[in-house]
Amino acid sequence: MAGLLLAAAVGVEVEDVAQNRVIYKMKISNLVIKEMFQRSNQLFFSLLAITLGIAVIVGIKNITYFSEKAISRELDELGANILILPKSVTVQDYYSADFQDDEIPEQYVNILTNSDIAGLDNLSPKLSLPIEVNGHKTILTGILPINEFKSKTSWQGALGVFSRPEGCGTVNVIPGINDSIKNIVRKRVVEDLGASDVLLGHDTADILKVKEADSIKILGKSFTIKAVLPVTGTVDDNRIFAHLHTVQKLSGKESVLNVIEIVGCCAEISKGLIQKLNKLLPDAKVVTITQIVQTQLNTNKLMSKLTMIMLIVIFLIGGASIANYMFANIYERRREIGILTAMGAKPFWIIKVFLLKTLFIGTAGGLIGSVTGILMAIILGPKIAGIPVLPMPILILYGLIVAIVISLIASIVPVIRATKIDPYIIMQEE
Amino acid sequence: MIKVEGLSKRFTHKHGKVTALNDVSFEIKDGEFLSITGPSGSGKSTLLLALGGMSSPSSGEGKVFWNNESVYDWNLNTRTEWRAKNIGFVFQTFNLIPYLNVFENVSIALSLSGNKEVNDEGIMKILDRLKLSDRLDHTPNELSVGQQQRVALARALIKNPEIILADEPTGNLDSQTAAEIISLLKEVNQEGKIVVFITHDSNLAKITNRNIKLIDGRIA
Repeated sequence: MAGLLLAAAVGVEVEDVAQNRVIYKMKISNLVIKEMFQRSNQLFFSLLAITLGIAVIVGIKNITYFSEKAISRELDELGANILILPKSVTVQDYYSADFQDDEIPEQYVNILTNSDIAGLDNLSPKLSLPIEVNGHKTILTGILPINEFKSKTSWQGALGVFSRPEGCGTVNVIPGINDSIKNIVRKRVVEDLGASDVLLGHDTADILKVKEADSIKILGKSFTIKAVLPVTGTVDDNRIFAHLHTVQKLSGKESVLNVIEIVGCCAEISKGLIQKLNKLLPDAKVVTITQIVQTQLNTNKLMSKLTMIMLIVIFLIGGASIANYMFANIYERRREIGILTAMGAKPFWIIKVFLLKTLFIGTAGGLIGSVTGILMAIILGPKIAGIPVLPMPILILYGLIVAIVISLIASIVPVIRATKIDPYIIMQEE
Repeated sequence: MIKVEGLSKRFTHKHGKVTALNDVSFEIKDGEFLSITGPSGSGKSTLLLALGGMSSPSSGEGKVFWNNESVYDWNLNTRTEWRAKNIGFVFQTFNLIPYLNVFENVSIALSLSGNKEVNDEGIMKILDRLKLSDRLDHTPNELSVGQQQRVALARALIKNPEIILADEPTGNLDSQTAAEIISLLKEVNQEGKIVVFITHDSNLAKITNRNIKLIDGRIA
């Protein structure tokens, strides 16, 4: 019965024949499994090498995925990295005054959103003008809420600009005033802003002694304070935000802007996004905020490089281990290979035996390694990277494929060598 | 019928060239029981392997014919298929696969031969005949040397080959077990198969129809 169970476990056909005898039908898989378990020490260490390798790859991949997201969020806090300005305006003007006399047409937003340029994230058209409220000098900035983009048929393509492309992380613009406040502080992007709503910078609200839900008169029009923004330490603290079209009407500057701020995908910037924008808007000045872009690019490059270096190291170590195991195994079994050849095993049959073995090791190592890697990531991720890490089941498939590919590649040379073993030499060793 | 014509085999070692077989020619008729004798290094094993399609002649030096077809003019796959169906090898050190049991060692030879006429019951018959039916699930290291050689013989016979080529099949056996094995080989020969075996024992050579003596790669 034990024999029956064992045979069934390793996938061989089992028959009961007369006289209570058990008959095992030989299959290649049976041969391979029996051989592996006969040399269980070799199998264990080979499996251990591939399992650990895959566990490290999968673990790093899992942690990296979530740390990249975390870094993306951090980088996003830096705000816009591309400015579209009137030709005569410099970045210094933008930083010092944050408003200009020169304007660019609002039509540029249409051109941008209808273009096929990838990597434009969080487009923020803006018109600023100096105003005085209750004797206090401040800046009124018109911004365009996301729902304006959604409502215009010709801007339907623009919805993509509020979700980052793959490789840039993901920034969710969540509806709700609190998140909108966060977004406007960072990127001047807000989900919804009524024609009579304003958002007040912290200092302005302080000086004017107003609070959320109060009314305020600006350029002769009454507004409701939808929210008071938290302290940012920037010019935004002394600013009032209203709907772009309201500001345009109040200033008599219909359909014009001072600036379009963009959080451009850093991967696309490195692929020539700025040149594409310059070509698309030849009458405007397209500039990058170098420090931000460089930080984003450098961080992304570093992360990619680290992951790639790890992958290469593991690939080499895992591959060398498997290759070493296969070479040793084939050397040890050269007489057996000779015997099988003498019995009529063709080279392809020998290849099948060893590749099946490789496949078993790769599959087992891939599965065990992937699960171990994911568990390691969940447990160690928060400790190492300081971020919560969730399991990514897709990495099991990834680990499985990597393990099988490593095993197969590492086995090619040893297996080819196995088919070249001269049975004559084996017999002569007797 | 097997015919060997002007067969030579040379090897290049780090110490120089060695001629294992030198212009060897002979015929083996169907149903013949043939022994090959000679001192160590005389080329006996090389000749046996050459007869089994496993050691090709040195370039252009001789041929081995099987029913008038030149074995080494076939491609590797054809030659391997021919060997799988028609040749049964038996070796001095048995060369059983150590992690397979008795039944599996015989069964794998049957699988490789592609012979579909013999089934599991056929394997059992052979093992019964060789008194191994109570050792089915024993691995080689659980068997006596005599039993191991009987398994090796069963492995050679299971595919019902035309020729049995045995390289010193009694070399590791005591005299009684050796006699048993030779007796079995004789039985197989009487069933119409060609049996060629190498031996150092001149008494064993005497029981065959014919003996070929090799000295320095030539027939003496």
